[in-house]
Amino acid sequence: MVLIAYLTYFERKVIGAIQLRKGPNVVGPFGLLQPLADGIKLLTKETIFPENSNKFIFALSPILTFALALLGWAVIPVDFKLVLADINVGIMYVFAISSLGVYGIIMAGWSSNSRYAFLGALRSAAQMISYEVSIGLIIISVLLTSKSLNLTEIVMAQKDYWYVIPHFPMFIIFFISTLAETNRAPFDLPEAESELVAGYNVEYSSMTFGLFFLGEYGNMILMSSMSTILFLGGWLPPFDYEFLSFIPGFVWFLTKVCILLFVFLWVRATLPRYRYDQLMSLGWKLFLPLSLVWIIITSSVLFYLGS
Amino acid sequence: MLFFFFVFSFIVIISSLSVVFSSNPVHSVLFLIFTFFNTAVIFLLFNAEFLAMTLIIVYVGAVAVLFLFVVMMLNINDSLMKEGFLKYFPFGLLLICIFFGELYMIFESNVFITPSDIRISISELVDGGMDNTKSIGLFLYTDYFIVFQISGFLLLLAMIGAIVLAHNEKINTRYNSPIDQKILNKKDVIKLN
Repeated sequence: MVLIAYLTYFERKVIGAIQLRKGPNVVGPFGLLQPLADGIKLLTKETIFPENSNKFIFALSPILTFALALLGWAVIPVDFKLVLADINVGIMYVFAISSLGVYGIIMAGWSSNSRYAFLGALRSAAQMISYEVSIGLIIISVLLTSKSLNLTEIVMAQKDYWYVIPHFPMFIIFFISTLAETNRAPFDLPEAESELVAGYNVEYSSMTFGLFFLGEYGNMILMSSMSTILFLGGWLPPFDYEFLSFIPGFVWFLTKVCILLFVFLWVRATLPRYRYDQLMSLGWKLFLPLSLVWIIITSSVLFYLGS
Repeated sequence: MLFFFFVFSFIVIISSLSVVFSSNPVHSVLFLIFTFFNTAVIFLLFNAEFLAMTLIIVYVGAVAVLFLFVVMMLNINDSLMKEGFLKYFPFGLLLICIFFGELYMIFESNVFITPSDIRISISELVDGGMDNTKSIGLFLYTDYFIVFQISGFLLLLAMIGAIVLAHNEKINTRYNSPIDQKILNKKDVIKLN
């Protein structure tokens, strides 16, 4: 939770630095209390239910979004054996949870009974399904190399070399797909403010909006830790030297996640938004065939290496 | 364990009844999703975690989203839907009879249709300490390989059919190919000043 709150602070600072501004610097030292102030502001405001909206689903969808963003953490191993539930289909669990995330958005868009919100929700649904396909295929090619569905074992399989080395093109595609999956810039079409006002969360106010916001940032962190586990060797240090493994595993893990998150923000501050048809054609016509071909290459290489 | 099974199967029955009886089609789809979800939980109770996750990913994560998508976009009128009720009723009755007949045959005869020479026994694998993801894989790609491939081809065929039916050539619409936009030269563009 605190991590999510400070991610918003971090985002504003980074974007500020990139755009040669200062970012938040008034509340507390270096503006460090800014996220808390924002949280208090959101909590004390009034929750508005639009007329003609479907009240139950309207209230349910932000809760769902936020709950799903937190649920995925149950299986993420932060260090060796430092995991809440070490289930043996861990990666499928995370994938299932992230595929449920679309419901929060689509239900929000439908129940607020507004054109802008509805259009945003439809865009987001199509976008998330499209990119889920390529994410799934990329995960399969990683699984072929690690021979396990368990997240801990996937990390341990990267003891000699991280999967970012043999699977480098897939790492790039995975990262771009996670950008699209979490509805971040340059794929943040569901909330394109210039054309859809604010997309699916246009009718939401106070903490219901806050939950959407927290859910989005939670998903960002979840997805970054997924790419850390799949490609960057989780909690493992880059080289198996004594002084590097002296640093505890979760520090490595957090460092990698933070670097990935920085790239998320960097991309947001630098790239313009994609056009919708380009987004779709990128997903279906470029990423899907590429990741399919990569599965075939991976499995044939593994077959001929006899491992 | 048994208690949880009854709880979740009760929820499944209630929510699948609500799928049929709720007046708002969007609510129906949401109840359908809830049903899928609870079915996955029942799978989990039987230690079939791979099946549970696949059910959620495929049905809840992909199929039901598209359902919801379509249902939300259609402007469904209640009275129009009730009109066709009598016309479709015999057909529905026939389908119900077929499904219940199949269920009855399976539960009565206790014989599942299996290939004649099964070389791997699934209960042996699971009892031997294999996790069930691995056993499903071994089973599916050996004894049931042909059936598995045929069902894959059926799905491919259905997909191609759907694309052929839905695809129409864009004649009257304006379309900018992103590739054409990328390879545009600065010299070819008319300059206004």
